Amino acid sequence: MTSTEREPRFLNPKRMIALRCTVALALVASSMLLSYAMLRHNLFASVDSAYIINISGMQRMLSQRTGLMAREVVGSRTPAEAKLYAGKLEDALERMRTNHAELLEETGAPYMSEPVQALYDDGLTTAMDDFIVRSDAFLDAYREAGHEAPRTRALMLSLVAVARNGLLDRLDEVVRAYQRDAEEGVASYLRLETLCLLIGLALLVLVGLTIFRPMARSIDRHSRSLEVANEELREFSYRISHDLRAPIASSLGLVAMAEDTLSDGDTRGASEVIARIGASMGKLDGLIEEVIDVTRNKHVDQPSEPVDIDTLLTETLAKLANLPGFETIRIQKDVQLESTVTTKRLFLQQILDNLLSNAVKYADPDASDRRIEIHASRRDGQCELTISDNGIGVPESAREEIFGMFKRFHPRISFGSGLGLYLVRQNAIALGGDIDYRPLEQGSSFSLNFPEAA
Amino acid sequence: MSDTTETSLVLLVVEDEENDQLLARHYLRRMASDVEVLCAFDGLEAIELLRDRTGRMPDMILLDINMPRMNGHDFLEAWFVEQGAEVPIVVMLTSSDQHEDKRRALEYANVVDYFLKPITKETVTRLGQILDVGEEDSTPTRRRA
Repeated sequence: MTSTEREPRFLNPKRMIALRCTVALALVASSMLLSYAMLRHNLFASVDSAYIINISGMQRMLSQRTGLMAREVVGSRTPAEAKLYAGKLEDALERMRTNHAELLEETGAPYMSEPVQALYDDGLTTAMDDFIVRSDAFLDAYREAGHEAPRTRALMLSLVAVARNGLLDRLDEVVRAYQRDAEEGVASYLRLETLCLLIGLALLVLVGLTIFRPMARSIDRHSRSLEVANEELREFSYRISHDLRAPIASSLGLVAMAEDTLSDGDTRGASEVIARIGASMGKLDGLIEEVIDVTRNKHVDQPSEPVDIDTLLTETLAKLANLPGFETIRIQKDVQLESTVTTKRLFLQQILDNLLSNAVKYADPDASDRRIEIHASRRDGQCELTISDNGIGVPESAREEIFGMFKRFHPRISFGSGLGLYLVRQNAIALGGDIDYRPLEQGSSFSLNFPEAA
Repeated sequence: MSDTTETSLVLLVVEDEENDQLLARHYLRRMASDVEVLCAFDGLEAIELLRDRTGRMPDMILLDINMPRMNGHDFLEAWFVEQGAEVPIVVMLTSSDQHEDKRRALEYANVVDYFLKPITKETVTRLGQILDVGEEDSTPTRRRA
């Protein structure tokens, strides 16, 4: 039997939960912010690219329209018709000029990719300037010489050739370059978003494993600890109401019995009954004392101090000397401690009081050689105190709950309140140690292990 | 039933407190001139006593609840399993005034009353009345399976 399971110790659960939740939420929020930043960057880049693609596409269309209008001007049957087409050409050219100026302003912007920038640097700007100059020259020739003049026709052919062969291809290349840029941007965005998603999922797993799982376990431990405490409290309250009342009820009955006995003239009988009342009250007093010990020890921490175990044992045994049968028990004490042990004296003293008084009270009345063996030693800052006896022992069926509250195991020997070994276990835990019970072939052995306080 | 009744009675007191056993003996012996009071210190001991008994079985059991090894509730359950309906009348005599204890005990049909300690002359008078009733209705039944 062992009581090695320690009561869980918690560092401010409220702070622990708040801290863990804050860290978890901060990690998730970081992941969301990263994702949002990437989305925002890509959206703005897409808007800029769309603008450039739109302008470039329009320039492409306008260059073709300009060439077409020039052809229509030259091919017009009447001056009025030529003038109409020339007007349209002027409008297209004006729009083209404005767009070109805007594109020149945008050239070199950070979002313009290197291939697109290279296209502009590699003659597109010059080609556009050249096309606009040729268009202006064509319009000047038309205005000066009319639409049927050979120079006007020659300039139209030159303009159409430039629009078809030089400018169109370059502008197509710009649109394709932007399209490639956009596709690469989308692919890159998808990769980054996938990476973000994976990072987010990994963070969630990490948060789950390192924050929420320990937190859930901690809450579960708290919950179980509270359930145990509640159950103990319920049992304590139930048993205390019974065990406090029982000796009082018994004494009241004995008082009535003493009256009966006296009225029968049996003074010796009455005297025996009164002695029983005294014993009953003594038992009640002992119970109250133990209840006070249990409740006080739960709520009051004791300071650590140097304790001479040998002296403490001697004092404890001296207190037990008036127990019936004490003088018939051979006590062997083997204390292998060179110096004092720093620990909580009151808790240790109560442990020794209970274990040693049990060993005396439950000595085997039929044994010829009644003995109690006490052994104390220390190793690596850990103290071990073993108390063994060859008494009547603990029934096998009761060993599982030997350290339980209000447990009594010997129906005909009704010494204790049933709180003694419960108190021993609570005190062992309070010392940072544990208590083990080991049944012997004849008797019992209890081993207390506890670390020396720093 | 009064102190002058000549009916022979066998009573079993299941009680772990020696003082309460003494009190029970003191009062129960006044119920009749030839009353036999058996005592057991807990449920296990009571079962052994009843199992080993060759003479007349008790007319009534006075049963405590809180006892080491086997308490009163467990005794009732165990004895029902062993004996079925052939069980004597039981009267609870306990320090526990808990509603749950009373409810659990009175689930058994042969548990006919529930007294708080200490046993008194009034308790004994009531026990006498119960025993008269018990003799008229001597086939105890069980409410609980």
